[in-house]
Amino acid sequence: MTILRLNKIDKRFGGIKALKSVDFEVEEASIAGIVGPNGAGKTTLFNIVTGYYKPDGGYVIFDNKNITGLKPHQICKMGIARTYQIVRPFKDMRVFDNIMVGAKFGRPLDKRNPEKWAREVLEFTGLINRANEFARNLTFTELRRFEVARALACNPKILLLDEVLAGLNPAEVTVACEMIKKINKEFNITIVIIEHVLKGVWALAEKVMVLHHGEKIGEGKPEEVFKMKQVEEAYLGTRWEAVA
Amino acid sequence: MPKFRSIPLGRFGNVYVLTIICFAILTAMFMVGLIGAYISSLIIFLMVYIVLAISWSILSGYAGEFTFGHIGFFGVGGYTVALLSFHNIDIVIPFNILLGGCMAALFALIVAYPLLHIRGWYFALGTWAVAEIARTLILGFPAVTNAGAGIFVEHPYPPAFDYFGALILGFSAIIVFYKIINSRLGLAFVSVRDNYDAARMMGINTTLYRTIAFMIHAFLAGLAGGFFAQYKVFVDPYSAFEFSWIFKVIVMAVIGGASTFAGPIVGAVLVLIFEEIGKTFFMRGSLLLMAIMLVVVFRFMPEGIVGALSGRSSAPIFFKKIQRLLKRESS
Repeated sequence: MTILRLNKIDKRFGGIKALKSVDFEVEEASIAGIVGPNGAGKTTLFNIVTGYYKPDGGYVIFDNKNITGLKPHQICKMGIARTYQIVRPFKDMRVFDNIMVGAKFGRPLDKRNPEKWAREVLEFTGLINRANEFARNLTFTELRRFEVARALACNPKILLLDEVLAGLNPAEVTVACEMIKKINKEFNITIVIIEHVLKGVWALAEKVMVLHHGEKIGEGKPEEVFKMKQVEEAYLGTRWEAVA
Repeated sequence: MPKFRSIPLGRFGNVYVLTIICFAILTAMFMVGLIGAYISSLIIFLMVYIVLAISWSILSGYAGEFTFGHIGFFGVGGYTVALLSFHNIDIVIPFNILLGGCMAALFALIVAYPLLHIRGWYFALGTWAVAEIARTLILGFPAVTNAGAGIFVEHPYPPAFDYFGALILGFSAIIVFYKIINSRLGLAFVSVRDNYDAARMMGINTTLYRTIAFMIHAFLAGLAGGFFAQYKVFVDPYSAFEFSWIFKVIVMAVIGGASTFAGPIVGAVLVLIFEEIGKTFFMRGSLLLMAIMLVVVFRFMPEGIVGALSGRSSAPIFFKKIQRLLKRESS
């Protein structure tokens, strides 16, 4: 079953077309990836799904409901949570309270105790020992996990991860990938991941979309997509022989 | 199981017990006659200051919207009480003051729509404009408001009435403040303050919560204004909307620590003490004292005295740096 469907999404910023008629479908309980060079429009796409921007054309269907034009907090309550590429913690709050915001204001927990749920999330992401720390005192890698924990606390049906692996070393990437897989399996949450670290996408995603200058230039299984000529060109440039 | 401290900004011993003890002591002292006219007027001022400082802290310290327009709502509350008396509409005492608070909150709701579309310093300037608008409206309708001549408020109650009224007002504001900052509402306020976009993405209706913060702040300021008009027996557009009060209230909240529970209360006490000491030296001496204090606090304890004491500030680091500097220079 398709849980998230983007239909011909257009977005312009002044004269720049950030997204040109992008279609994308995500299956329930799957992991999908979005890759592309800088400025391809990946984060813009997330901003449209979460309601931060309104698209200039097209619509977003989530869980059989049209969510185009809804406010971000409404969309969050329906079950879409995201992380930010540049982490945005509530710096002057303790880690535990940061998580509690998600547990209290995100998608309703159906009578589950929010504090218990927050604890569960912290245990899952390995931040339980840092719960009393102020968020501004977390280290870089902790902040990455923290960002995921906060999104997870909103009790989402679908989790949008924006470059959560960026800046991690290879060992940390492996650990993080395991965590993302576990979120997908144990909590039964659909995941869409934007990534520059191709190793991560390769290991995780069942389906990948490649964006370039706001256009979809490829879609399919990772191993197929990365062999496509146009994808190679977007990442590495045109082959010399091809030009000559 | 580790214990987690939830909302770190509010915890402060057992507030209810402390409040009741303070209330009981002040009541007892008044009963035995330990509190004369001078001290009782100081305590009445203190309570009004506390309510104002708390109201400013809720909007600016917790919800993160810096406001200059605070005094506008104080004036609206005061004028509600005064106008009721002027037009001979009899409402028994606590209710006319409550109505003053409600009118201020209503006024806040009306101006919230244009104001809350702007943020940061633009919002702060906008609130100032709103306060001026309220004053100008009162000046503009002499038939209804007696304009610049002011209004005398009927006050058929004994002095003890003012004293206990002030105590009840001040202490209930403290309890309400404590309740709010340790609730779901407080969590939402702090989230909106710390990161607006992240708060929206985590399901917080930022517009709603900012409006609520704005209305609570207006309600408390209106209550204080209504009480003050009743106590002072006279309002006019210049005293009810006096700009130096905004300065005073900001000083209270900021030197105490606007995003702490005890901060506004400590700040209100300090400002009252400065005022009394300053007065004995020369005219407006208190303003000089407050200004110096403000600079010192901004430099060394940007989170206020209570903020620094509870370890939320970088003050200790500053002091260490200075010590190190001094050592280096002496050696």
